[in-house]
Amino acid sequence: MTGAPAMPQEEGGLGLNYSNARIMVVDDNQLNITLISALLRKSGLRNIETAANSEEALHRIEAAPPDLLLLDIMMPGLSGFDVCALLRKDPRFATLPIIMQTALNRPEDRAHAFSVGATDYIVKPLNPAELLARVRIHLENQALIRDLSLYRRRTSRELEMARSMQIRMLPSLGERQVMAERCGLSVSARFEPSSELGGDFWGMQPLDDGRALVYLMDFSGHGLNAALNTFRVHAMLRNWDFQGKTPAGALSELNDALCPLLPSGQFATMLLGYFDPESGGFSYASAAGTAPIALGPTLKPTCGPNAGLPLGIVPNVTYDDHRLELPPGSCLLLYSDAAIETEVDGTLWGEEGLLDFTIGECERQMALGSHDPEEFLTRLSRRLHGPRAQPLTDDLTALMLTRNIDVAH
Amino acid sequence: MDYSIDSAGEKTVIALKGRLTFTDHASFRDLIKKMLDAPHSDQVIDLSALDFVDSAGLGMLLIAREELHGRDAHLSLAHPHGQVRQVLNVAHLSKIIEIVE
Amino acid sequence: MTLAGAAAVSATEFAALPDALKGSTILVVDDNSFNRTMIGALLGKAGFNRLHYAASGIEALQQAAHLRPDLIILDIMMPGMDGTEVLRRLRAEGEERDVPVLVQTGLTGSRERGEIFENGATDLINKPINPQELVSRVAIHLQNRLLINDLRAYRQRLETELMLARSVFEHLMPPERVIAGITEASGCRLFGRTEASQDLGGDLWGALPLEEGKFALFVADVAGRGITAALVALRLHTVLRTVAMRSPPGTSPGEFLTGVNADFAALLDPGQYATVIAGIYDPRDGFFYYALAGANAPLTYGDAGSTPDVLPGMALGLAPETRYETHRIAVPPGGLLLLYSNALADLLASPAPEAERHENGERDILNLLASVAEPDGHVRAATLMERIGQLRTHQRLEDDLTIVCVERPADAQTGGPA
Repeated sequence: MTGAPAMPQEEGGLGLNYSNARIMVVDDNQLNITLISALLRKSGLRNIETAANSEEALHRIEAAPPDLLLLDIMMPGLSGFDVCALLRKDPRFATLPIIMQTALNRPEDRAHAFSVGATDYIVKPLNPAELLARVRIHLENQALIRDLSLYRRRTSRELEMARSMQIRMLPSLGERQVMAERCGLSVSARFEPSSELGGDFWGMQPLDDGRALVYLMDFSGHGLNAALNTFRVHAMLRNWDFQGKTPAGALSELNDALCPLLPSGQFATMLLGYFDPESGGFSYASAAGTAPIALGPTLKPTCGPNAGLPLGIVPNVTYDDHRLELPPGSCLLLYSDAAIETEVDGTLWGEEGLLDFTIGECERQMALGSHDPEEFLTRLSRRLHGPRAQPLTDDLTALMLTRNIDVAH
Repeated sequence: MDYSIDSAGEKTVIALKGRLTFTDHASFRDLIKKMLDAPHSDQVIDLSALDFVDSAGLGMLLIAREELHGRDAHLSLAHPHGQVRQVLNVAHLSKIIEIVE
Repeated sequence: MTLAGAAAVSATEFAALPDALKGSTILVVDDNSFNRTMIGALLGKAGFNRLHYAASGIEALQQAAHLRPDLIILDIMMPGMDGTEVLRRLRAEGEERDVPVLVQTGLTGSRERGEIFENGATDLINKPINPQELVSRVAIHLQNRLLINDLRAYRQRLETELMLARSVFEHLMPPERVIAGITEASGCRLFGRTEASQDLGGDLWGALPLEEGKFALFVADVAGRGITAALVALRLHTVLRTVAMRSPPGTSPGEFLTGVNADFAALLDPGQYATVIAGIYDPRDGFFYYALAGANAPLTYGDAGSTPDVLPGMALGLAPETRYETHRIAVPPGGLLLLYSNALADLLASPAPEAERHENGERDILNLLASVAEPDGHVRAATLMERIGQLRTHQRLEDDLTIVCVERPADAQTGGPA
């Protein structure tokens, strides 16, 4: 196992970074090279390379990129301007500090140097204090950027892996297929964490008694901390015994299990329900989850009741069972807070906004003779992001459950 | 979120203003410290000027309740309206905190 | 502006400025109004649209504090407070310490120019100002600053999130009152500690009081490090808890780990696993009954200190059908029982080849125990923890470190009911 990259040392200057920095001095005049190298060495920089012409410089930079380049302009063959322009075309050297050191001092030379991508410009005869000050400033900047970038690379790699773990916790297309065949319930889903990881979690599972279990949870807060809870609850629910339990009973047990796990101020809202293919009803209980919306060809869109104490605050809570009828072909929309607590067209959308949107979409699809839950979810997400595709400030999960018309038994 | 604290009367009244969300975590922590130092064991958070609360904000109210409870103090919430009132109702918060309409 | 100045501005063509830089706040400081206007006009023409001006050093400091500019262009020779003093004060004070300051000067002397840098200038530009050079230098510094601000904001956000996540993990370890309860019921003192090598780690330990003074212990070490290891550790903790709650009294450690493994394996992605030791200490007979899933066997120290000759077993999560056996080890009266994750051995390791680490590890740890033993031969857990703490200060942790030890009281009866 290799050691972790050292934590960035933002404060306290450069320390090791500075004296170990690799500097390349390019000049066709040996005296200049000797002079500059001696100056740099005296200031504590030990790692100095030199090149007597542009070709040699390019060759060596390619082999081992330096941390800073001190580049003469007037050289036989390629000029310093050419070298600078060539290097800047290569993304690997886009941020390499290039200090032009030259006897040229006309305004157009300076302008030319900057236009080909020079970072800095010093005029010969060199002023030692100024040269060292400029070298130091560029190296410090580079070191800071490198350390911070390293932190970001390392952390985002970890978060990326964590994100794929989180996405794998959600029901796969295969599992949804099984659900559609066994229980006659198709599930379309959209999961958009507002940062790398989210505090939303949903799941489903066909039960042995023929019912389909579906739940949607939303942990308070967002980011990593809320996501941690989704991993725990996933591990917990995987082997949970739902058989023969009412939704309210199951919620109540889950609440008792979550109470010791969640610190003060953290909680989860949840909607948990069973779809019964025999009766066509969706019975559910809500711990301050959002109001489920039932809709369909023969069903005026309606919000179901959803009040209940969130999970994880106090133990021994009782919840209420509710029931929504789902005639064949009708749908049930479940969603996290973000679907109603987002500002749309400058005002808080709310349940009314979502309901109006849903009715509109339903009518639109019916007029077209289509039924496309995936399209509905895409359009819902687009509406919430607004015309300028603003990022959402909270995690969005939306599920559309469709009771299939032909239930295969 | 802005707040003001009034300890002049028989109770300490904390008036919240604006939006109480995830980003107010640090300032709400400070507020709780001030509430714990307030002279009255009977405290009211006045929500009449609070326009929006998200789940993190709700969590902060619960922390305030718990911390005051730990000092044998009593916390109630007063005059929620609009979205705030709706959130408190949906979360059945009146089961664990007194809410004065 | 004079006609000549206006002509200079209008004659200059600038390369396209990246949009992200246009809204940067730039403060131009110069006591000469012609220079201010000239610089402002050049920057304005280049595309910058948030330009502010100060005509003196005092005004510059006030404006800087108020505007929090992204860059300052500063003249050195000014009546009253000069540019050098402005620099010194800017660099001394908190909020604006980082702001790039581009000093414009007519000075050419080596010493003077060196001094300006020493006082904290980011860059020097010569007067008369070359328009292209000015705009290029300004753009280079702003680009850097933008990048650094962006990277810093990312790091700040993640550090806050990781700190919060860390507190969740601290919450998973047994609270003081549980440990105190175990000591009271069993007579044994119990110490446990986990240290992550990064912000978050994959090590856990736990203790649970059982009936008749018995208590259960576990140490778990999830493969890998960082956030993903922590997420797997959280899953493992949840499974350990769930299986513990549904296990009837009298469940052996082997049966327990067999159950945990079956549930845990179903949750994992390929390549994820954990090594675990879980067991029950029975104060009545002084034995620690345990099962191993790829973990180090427990060590004891005392009169009959020993290392059991037990194979480590299959790590947890690799094969759902694995059955784990229960082993036992006697803890001598006045002796110590030690459970530990690999990092402890690594911490002590002489730079031995990886293959020899395991064997050497046990020897090294026994040596460590001997080195902290008191004259009467007893090892106090607190002394051991302190010694390990000292070792930690000399060496970076390569992996998460967990140690749990149990001190059996000296006056305990040896042996016990069959």
